[in-house]
Amino acid sequence: MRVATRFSNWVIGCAISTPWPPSNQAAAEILARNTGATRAGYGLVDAGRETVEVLPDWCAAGYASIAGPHSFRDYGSFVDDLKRGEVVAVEDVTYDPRTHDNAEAWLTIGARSLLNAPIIERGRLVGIALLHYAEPHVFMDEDLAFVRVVADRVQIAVARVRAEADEHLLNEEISHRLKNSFAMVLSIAGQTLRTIPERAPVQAFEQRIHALSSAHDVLLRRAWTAAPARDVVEAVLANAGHADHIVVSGPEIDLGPRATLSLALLLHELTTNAAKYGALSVPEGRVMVDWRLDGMDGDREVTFDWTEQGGPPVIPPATSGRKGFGAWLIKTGLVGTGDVDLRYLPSGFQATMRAPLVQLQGS
Amino acid sequence: MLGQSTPSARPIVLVVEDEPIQRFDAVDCVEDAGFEAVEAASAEEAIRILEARPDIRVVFTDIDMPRGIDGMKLAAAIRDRWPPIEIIIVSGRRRPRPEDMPARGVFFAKPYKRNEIAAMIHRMTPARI
Repeated sequence: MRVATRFSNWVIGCAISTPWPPSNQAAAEILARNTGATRAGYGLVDAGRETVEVLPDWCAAGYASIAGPHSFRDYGSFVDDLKRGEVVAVEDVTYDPRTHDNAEAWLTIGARSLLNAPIIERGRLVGIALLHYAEPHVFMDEDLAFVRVVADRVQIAVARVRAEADEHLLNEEISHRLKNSFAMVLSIAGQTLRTIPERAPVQAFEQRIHALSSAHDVLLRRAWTAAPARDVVEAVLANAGHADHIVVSGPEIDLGPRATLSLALLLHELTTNAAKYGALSVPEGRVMVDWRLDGMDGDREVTFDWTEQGGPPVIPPATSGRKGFGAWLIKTGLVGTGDVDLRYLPSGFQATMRAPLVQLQGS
Repeated sequence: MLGQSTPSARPIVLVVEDEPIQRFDAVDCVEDAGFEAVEAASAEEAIRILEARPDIRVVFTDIDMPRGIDGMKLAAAIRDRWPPIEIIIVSGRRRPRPEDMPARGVFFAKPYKRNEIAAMIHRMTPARI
């Protein structure tokens, strides 16, 4: 069978198993079936201690698993080649100078011939793909090429898993520092402004920072790439302490980081106003937050509706004079374009905000 | 004198935070809420204070203190050595798993809200008859 065919078989095999470490034997079995080996598997290497932890392997009938810890030097000197990144092909363990002093160890595990391909990560030996044969085996160039390709493939998987783990750690660290910075900002503001007799603006500031912080939490769940609209809405409402009186509904939409932060601040203002003057100022009041997607393909538009019910009689705010920051935040809308319609109806205050989906999802 | 309340009658809260500005603000938050605050900049200092004075009712601690014992280990030690003390834990990191929390311990994410901390301390320190 040609290398390309065998490799595609192996890739299909790996696709149905965990890439690394290959936790089940499916990948090992595909490796064995494509090479005629009597045993196949992978091992995690500790290069400093020259040990290998063989993961659950695949063995032909009559051959025992060698899964578990092994010391390379108990089986010869070929670990030196592996550390240099070379494929080790031993056609007969009793003749090869690297193994013949330890041939007994090999024959005990039913291996007369072997192939080890190194898996190198950042210049360091971190694993091996291994094939054992019960009889002496002459390796063709294509056998070596195949195992090499397998090892490279595994190496890519190792690097990806490690990169994801690193990114996750980095995100956790950034998240932690960011939240500590928010805490510092609030502490400094609290102390700097503590002698100011008028407490409302100080509280408004603190609450806005908390709203921003809750939006950051949602963004960090997916490494700052996007945030589900529902999660953002619920986080902001929970932060404001009104989640019980607000009904949230809408299709699943991912928002980009910028829209997430604007929506959080905007919803926070609406919630604050409702708590001061509107439906959330009385126990029986309710608010509906819903959104929908209209249009097709690139022209899709998102409409957010805020609908208050059961509140006290609605009084439109005076329009004269300079508007406050909160009112400005609401007027500015979801993406700063100001597509906002505010209605002071007898049934309750309503706001409708629209924005193109592409703008909401941009970074 | 009957009916007279003295400063020492206020429940005492030990604030443990290594970051000075946040500690200052946390102490302020506790005092604003009507409690007496004692402060420690590390878990080790907190343990020394707890060993010296038996009148502390609540410990309000950060988790992340880079040098020495962290807030979770401090909380576990308090639960072990001083079972009646109530514990509030704050952190900018993930919420600890429930099995890692001390019995009756309460967690708040940073940045926390001062009024929520104040309400929790009040709930944890009902007036003693």
